[in-house]
Amino acid sequence: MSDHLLSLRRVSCNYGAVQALNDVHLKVDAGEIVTLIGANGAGKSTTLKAIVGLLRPEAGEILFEGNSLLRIPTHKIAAMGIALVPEGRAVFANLSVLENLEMGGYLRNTAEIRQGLEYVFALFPRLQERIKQVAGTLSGGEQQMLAIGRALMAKPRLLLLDEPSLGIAPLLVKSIYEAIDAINREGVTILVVEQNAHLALKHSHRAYVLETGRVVMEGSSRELENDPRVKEAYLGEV
Amino acid sequence: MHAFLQQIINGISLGSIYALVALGYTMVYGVMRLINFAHGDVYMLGAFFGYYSSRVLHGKLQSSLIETILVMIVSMLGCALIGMLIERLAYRPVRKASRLTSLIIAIGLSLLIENLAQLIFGADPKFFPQLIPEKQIALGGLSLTNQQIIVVVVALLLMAGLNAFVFYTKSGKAMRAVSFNLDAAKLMGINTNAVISLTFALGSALAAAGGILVSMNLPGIDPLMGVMTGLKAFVAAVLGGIGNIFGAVLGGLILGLAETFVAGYGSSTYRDAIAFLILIAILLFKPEGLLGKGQVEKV
Ligand SMILES: Nc1ncnc2c1ncn2[C@@H]1O[C@H](COP(=O)(O)OP(=O)(O)OP(=O)(O)O)[C@@H](O)[C@H]1O
Ligand SMILES: [Mg+2]
Repeated sequence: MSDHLLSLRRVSCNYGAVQALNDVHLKVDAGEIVTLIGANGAGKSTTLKAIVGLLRPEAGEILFEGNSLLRIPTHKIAAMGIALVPEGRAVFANLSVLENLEMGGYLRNTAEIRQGLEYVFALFPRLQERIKQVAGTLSGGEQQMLAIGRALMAKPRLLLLDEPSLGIAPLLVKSIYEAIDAINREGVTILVVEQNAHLALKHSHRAYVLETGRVVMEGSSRELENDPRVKEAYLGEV
Repeated sequence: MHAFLQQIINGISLGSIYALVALGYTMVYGVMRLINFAHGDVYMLGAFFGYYSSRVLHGKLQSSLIETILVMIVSMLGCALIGMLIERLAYRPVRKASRLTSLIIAIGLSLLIENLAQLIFGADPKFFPQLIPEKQIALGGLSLTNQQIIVVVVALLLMAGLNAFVFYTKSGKAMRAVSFNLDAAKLMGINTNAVISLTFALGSALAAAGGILVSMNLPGIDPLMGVMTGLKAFVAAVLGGIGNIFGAVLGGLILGLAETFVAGYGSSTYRDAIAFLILIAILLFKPEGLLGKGQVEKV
């Protein structure tokens, strides 16, 4: 069996006639921050949806700690220790900040929820100030913090993040990525999807480049940062 | 003035029933974006479960209050089960299909239940026992019956219970999370199928309570009694803003009042028409309903 925390082998996914992923392979080891970069429509979100079972692959295999995820319902995949912060954040806009965090800790007991809240509020003090506020009225950046905090409430071993920088002011993006680094230092393995390649490569150990549903490059983030093709296509340098 | 107050009392009593039934439409819509057209028939089944359980229990208990409560519980549990079966067998298999598919299933299911009920219970009306003997209560010239008070009190208790459940319990919060974003709820580890099933159970139990409360005041119950009440409660849910639980209660009360006022001051021939006038008006001028579009909590 595989000793990677997560591995995707030759995964293909379709939306009807549209093939979104084609033979994608990817591995994440415990303790790493791995990033998946690519342009709009490359298949980044699709990859994450396939991992958590919101979309089922046509072909291929997805293993978490050596166990196949392909036939496991999404809520049980969550219980196995995988949390996804979806693209567009998907906070429960009709629930308060506190209730959103409680939902994140849905599978945990009261004491664990209390600890989780302390941890999340230490990471994002702004959330604590807005604990009673309805999530739909938070700013975009605050919603992103809430979405990450909500995912952390489950104490996941693998945290999947879908474009955490999307639509957020540069200063907040910086603090969100600092939080991601801090979460990783606590021992949480992270797979982060980004269009902002510069940022993603700076805050990761290894990277994959996705183009129209295929992995076209992979390597350490330092290597890829200096790769002329990556520089030209994704870092805006010539 | 007295006549006016009298109409208000009658209207609130009738409106509470519509509210109880409307809650089921709105909760199911909240979690599944589906109009469960068989919901009125569940209300009818509630009345029949009450009828049969009271026949079994009658005379075996000391107090008519305990008998009433037991009849109520049996019927609510029975309908909760029916609601869960309806979801599991009729709607879950087509959840990923088009909305038209589930709409057709809903209508077909409603016809199926009505016809099965005629087959099993018989088509003619059955005399529903007076679980609690009716008493007139004179209140400063107003004539109230103890039944009307029971209807309003029981309906209020059930709605308060539902409110506490939805806003303060873990499962209630999960229900609100599911109604906002099904996939995100799954990501939290919430078993969304179980939450949807629970929603059907709760909505159906409330409809059963409505069925019994109405039957206590009616001369008879029959297998088609849910058709008109179901439609009116649906109008109430749309009026309040479908998906919104406060809207369902508000819509139910408005509809109950409108209906009694039309019957009292106009002509009782038009009492059924008012619901459809309201439906047309709301669809034309405020299709999202009075409290619709996330201003208030939706389920
Ligand atoms: N629900 C859907 N139905 C049909 N096609 C879809 C659907 N979702 C995505 N696609 C298609 O699948 C491909 C991959 O989409 P995906 O959302 O994974 O891209 P992405 O890399 O996340 O892009 P972005 O950076 O814009 O978020 C695209 O061509 C997209 O149009
Ligand atoms: Mg995407």
